[in-house]
Amino acid sequence: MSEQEDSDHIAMWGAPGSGKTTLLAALSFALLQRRGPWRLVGTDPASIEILRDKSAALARREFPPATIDIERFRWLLLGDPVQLQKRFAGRFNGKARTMPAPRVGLNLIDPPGGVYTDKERPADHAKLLENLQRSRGIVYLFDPIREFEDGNAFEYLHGALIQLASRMLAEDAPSDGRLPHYLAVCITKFDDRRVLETAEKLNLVTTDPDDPHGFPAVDDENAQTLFHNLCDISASGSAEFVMGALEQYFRPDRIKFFVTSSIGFYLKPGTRGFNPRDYQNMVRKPQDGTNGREPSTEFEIRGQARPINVREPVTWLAEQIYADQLKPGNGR
Amino acid sequence: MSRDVRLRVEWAVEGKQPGSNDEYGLIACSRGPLNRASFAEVRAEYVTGTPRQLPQITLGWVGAGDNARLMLIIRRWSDQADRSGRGIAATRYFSVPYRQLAEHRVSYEGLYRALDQCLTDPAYPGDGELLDVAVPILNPAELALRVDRTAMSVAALLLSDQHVCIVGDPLSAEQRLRFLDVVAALLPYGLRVKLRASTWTSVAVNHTIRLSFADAAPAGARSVVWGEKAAIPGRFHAAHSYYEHLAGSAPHLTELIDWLAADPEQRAFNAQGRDGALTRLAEFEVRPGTRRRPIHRSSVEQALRECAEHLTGGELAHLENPVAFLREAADNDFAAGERAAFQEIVKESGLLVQLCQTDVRLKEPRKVVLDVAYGPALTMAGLQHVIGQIEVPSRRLLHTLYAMPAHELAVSLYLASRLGGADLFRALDKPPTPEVVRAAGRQPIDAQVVLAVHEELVRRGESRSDTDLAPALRDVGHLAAPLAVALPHRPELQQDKLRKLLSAAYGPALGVRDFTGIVRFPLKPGQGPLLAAALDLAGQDSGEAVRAAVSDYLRAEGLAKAEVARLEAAMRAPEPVVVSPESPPIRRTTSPVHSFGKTSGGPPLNPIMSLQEDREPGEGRARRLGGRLRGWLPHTLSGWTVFVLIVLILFAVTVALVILFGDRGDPAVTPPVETQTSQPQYTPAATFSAQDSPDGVTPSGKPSDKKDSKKKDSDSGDP
Ligand SMILES: Nc1nc2c(ncn2[C@@H]2O[C@H](COP(=O)(O)OP(=O)(O)OP(=O)(O)O)[C@@H](O)[C@H]2O)c(=O)[nH]1
Ligand SMILES: [Mg+2]
Repeated sequence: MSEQEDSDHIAMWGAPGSGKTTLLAALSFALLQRRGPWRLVGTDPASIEILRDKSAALARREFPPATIDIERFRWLLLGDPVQLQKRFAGRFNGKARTMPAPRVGLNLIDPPGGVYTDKERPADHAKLLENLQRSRGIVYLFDPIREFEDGNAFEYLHGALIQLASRMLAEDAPSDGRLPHYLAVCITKFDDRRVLETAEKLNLVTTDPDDPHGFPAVDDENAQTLFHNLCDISASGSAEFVMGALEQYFRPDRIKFFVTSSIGFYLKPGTRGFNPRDYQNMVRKPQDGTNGREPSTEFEIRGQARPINVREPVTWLAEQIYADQLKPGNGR
Repeated sequence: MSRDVRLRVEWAVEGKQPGSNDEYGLIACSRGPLNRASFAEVRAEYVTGTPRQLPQITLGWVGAGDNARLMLIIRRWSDQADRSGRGIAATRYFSVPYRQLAEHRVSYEGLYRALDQCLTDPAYPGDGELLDVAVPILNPAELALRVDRTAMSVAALLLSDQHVCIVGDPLSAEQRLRFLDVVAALLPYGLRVKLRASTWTSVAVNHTIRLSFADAAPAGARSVVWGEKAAIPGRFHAAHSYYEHLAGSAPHLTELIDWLAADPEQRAFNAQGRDGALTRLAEFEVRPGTRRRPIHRSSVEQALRECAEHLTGGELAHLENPVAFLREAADNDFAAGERAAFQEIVKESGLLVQLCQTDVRLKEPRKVVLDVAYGPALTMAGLQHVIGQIEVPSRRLLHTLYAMPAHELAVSLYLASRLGGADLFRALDKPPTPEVVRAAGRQPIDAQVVLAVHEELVRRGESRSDTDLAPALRDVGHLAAPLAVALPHRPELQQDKLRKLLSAAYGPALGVRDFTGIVRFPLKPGQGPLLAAALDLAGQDSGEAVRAAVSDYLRAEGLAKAEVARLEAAMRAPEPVVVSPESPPIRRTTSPVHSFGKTSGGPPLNPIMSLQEDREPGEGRARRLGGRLRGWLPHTLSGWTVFVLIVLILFAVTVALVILFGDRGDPAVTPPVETQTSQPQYTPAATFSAQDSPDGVTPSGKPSDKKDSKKKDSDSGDP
């Protein structure tokens, strides 16, 4: 068990406020609610409690508080052998029905974004690097809004990446000089008007014909293009280095791009489809004591949260890690 | 009463720039020996997770030896938000050098209350000045009040190497802090330099907090359900013994906490520290005769209120602490005013009413609360106060009250007269007659007591020829007024009772002197029945008696002796002679008071005694036996004859019982040993049961006898 704990880490990486914790809440929400090849379960009372708590908060339309300490969640992805058979064709030897359910330990690490720099909390920064070193997958969150306003994503990426690389590459250098992690790059807050409009301008928006609500979406193949363009409009201009850094330190076949939103688009109760004139799902909370007229500085989710593409990055990582485990000579 | 310690406190504040997307970081810190870097280290040590609810209070330490410090960390929401609109938590770190506590110890709660108001204004002491606060000295009595088995078992469990998480509690952060405080108080104070505790820890962080409240216990930690006793695994020997000792000292928690707090030696949660803690605890003993630290009135009041709250909330299990505290407090020397205050709380909060519900679990709390508020001895005022709260007291309540020492007989009689039966018998059996009489005349008059006392006095007068009775009755107007209260609008019943009473006190025939002692002119309203009863008993002498009484009165009013004598003679002129065929006239030839008075030469004159003196020499007695058998015999019968009869009956019943149960071979019922040793005349019974005794040893210690007899039995049984 402890071996698995060590090996199956997936770390959330992103600047403060980029949406890491909200994505985790949306993930538990989505994986608990929707059917798919993977199911999320807690492994002990503590993690079950967190799982329940996180999805309940989102259902109450609350955003999580800013993370204070490095948190970790020990969850387990249980795969449905039948559904996964296609994906892992050949590896199950056609015995999917008799196979035990594939299970991938999902030990997620959610640090406060600030710890990705060593400015304020060097001790926690060091701890985080240790964790990253042990982890197999990384969910990297790129927040276009924040980048547009502050433009400091690079600041929270580069330093830590160099340190991680120097630790890992010094120990047992892989042949190509890149980190062994799988990397899911998530463009967050797709529901935000500015992000959606950018995607529309780039003609990247499609609609899934199976989606009953007709929500806008960006195919995974186009996500990288959107990412490039969003980097271009970064406030500091340093975002282009983000792309460069990722390509420099991770193997291209281990990177995948996703356009995500933890809360999704607003759907007016009683209506069926996406309304291009009224889709913002994040609104300011009314101020206490103003009878709902004055907005406060805090945000809340306007309607039901409808996470977009939050399961996909994590299950993609889980599948990659699982596939590696199935490889002959991997001790399993 | 509570004194303060002045402390110089280092501090730091952690937060975020409002409206920014910055990371949490130290915003300000004091310019004491602990600098920014030290506080950053502390911060990294005290990882507790992202709280959902604030405030959160964390207790800890930093440094060692001379540099050891206690840490208090308070995290609260500021009213500001960051760029993403997320509330900003402000965390304040306070550090108190441990040596400042060498003289006097403080509680965690005391520290918290003193410091929670500090540094709330973002304009922090600009030049990093240390804080200077006054913190009240730790109060063992107050902490003792809150000790329960959860606290005791958790304190003991901390002496294992396990982290402990309390789960499933409904408490606020401050209530949690109070619990942590109690747990810490059950450990030697010096362990605080290594104790980390928090009102909340996240299950999602790897923390080093030894004791905390949590939503669930993370793997490897022990979870203790709130309100329950923590299970201490057998392998933790120190923890086990510690718990045993704690539980054993439960009646003296205040002294115990005092004792543990008085131990400032720095200890750690390692094998050595555990042994040290155990030794310290084991050294605790309450020496008999040592004056206990007085318990403060406010803690008692608080405990009483707590009881009421728990009862209102239906939380019977939670009564345990306050009741344990009150039990200890009960024999404290509280001033009357303090007791009165307790009584008011008992009344206002409806505590007593709740305690009188039918639930056996309330028996002990009821007793304890009554002891505290109405003890040490129940006074009449206290009793009235109780009765004022409960219209119809249940037998349960009466019993509890009756079990308390009574301040005066009237109190126990009040209760006993309502309990009746054996209780009433016991209450009336011992106290001397004058006291019993006074109790009946005690204001406020209680009808049931008056009637019960009346019956008892009649019994005493008849059975023991109680010589104290008459003088005692004279002091209280022969209970005429109390009987009038007890039997309102029933003058003939009053008369009947009074006649029996007078007869018990003065004998069946009232002499003139006795009469004038009873009937004193002028009569007050309501004394009619007394006059009637006295006249009735004076019988033939009643005319003479009334004349004497009137003369007494006239003399007392200052009329000349000669004039009074003339009037008396006039009153006597036509002497009526009433001879009833049914009841032979009772005549008294001598005035016993006179003769006795002459011999003894001074007051007080006891008519009954003198009467007996008069009777004993034989002549008078024989005359009465012959002449007034009808009037005399019942009196005698209920006296010596009845006594002798009862003794005979008792004897017969005992013999019958012994035979009956002895026959069934139930030695537990027949007390052969006692019977034989104390009363040799019961030998037949003793022998009988000895033969039946299964172990072959006779009560007289002669096994051979028994064997022999048994042998005979079996011999005869065999063909
Ligand atoms: N529009 C939109 N806003 C989001 C979404 N997810 C998060 N946010 C906003 O971003 C804020 C920060 O999200 P968090 O998940 O707390 O960010 P984080 O990366 O965990 O931040 P730190 O814990 O400070 O490192 C939230 O309070 C929301 O205001 C999303 O899907 N859409
Ligand atoms: Mg977060």
